[in-house]
Amino acid sequence: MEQAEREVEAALRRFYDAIETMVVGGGPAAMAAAWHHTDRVTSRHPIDEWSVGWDAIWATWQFTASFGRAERGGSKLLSHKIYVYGDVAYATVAFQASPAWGGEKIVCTNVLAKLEGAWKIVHHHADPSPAMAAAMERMLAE
Amino acid sequence: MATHGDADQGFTVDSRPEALWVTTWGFWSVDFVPAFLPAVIEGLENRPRGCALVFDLKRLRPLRDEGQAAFRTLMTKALADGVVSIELKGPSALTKLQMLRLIRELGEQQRIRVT
Repeated sequence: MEQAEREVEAALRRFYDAIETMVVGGGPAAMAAAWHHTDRVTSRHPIDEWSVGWDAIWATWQFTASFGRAERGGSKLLSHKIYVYGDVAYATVAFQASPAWGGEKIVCTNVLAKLEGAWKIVHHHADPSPAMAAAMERMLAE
Repeated sequence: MATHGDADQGFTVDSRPEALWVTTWGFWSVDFVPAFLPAVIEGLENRPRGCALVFDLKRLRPLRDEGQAAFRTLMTKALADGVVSIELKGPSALTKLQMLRLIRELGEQQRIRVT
């Protein structure tokens, strides 16, 4: 594995580690650190539509993080493949939501860019997860 | 009908026979949120007590804390001032969760509904 691919993989793992941090109640700060903060970033969560620009994306992560509890952990990065093209890379990912968050296997695509020397997420797309939406609605009642 | 905002973020307030109808869109920045409360309250003040309030949320993106607080304040005041029912129409799944949480916090599951 080449140096750039190792760096992209580390950035990708920081993103998925940040998800697990959020779901166990650790807050969204690690997620903020995993992203480039510009107007030219985009995201689609498993239970949402497109968000464009860091401010809009941050609002979705902040709200999602508010559902985090210590006992709700267990999300997993099941597999991934990374493709690097200069200072841009993308990763195809299979992700398993934790049982409390619906437990569904979700296929994702992430685009990362190396800006100011740091690889971070600039685009995240996750396939829809009805199970996650239902789980979060149940969490509201707990 | 009064329009506030632009193509990226905004809302309209429309006094229809059946309800005061508020249509929302976009991602609301911190600077934009303060326009929301006075505009809708003004619309309600021009209606008789006992009217209904409808929010069309189909094109509204998930709100920051400031936006959620504005909805909380507005819905509380509207119900206290005589609005009989509030309907939140068509939000995306994440925005729907934000609204359901607000409704639970207000304890207003009977008078506020998400459709």
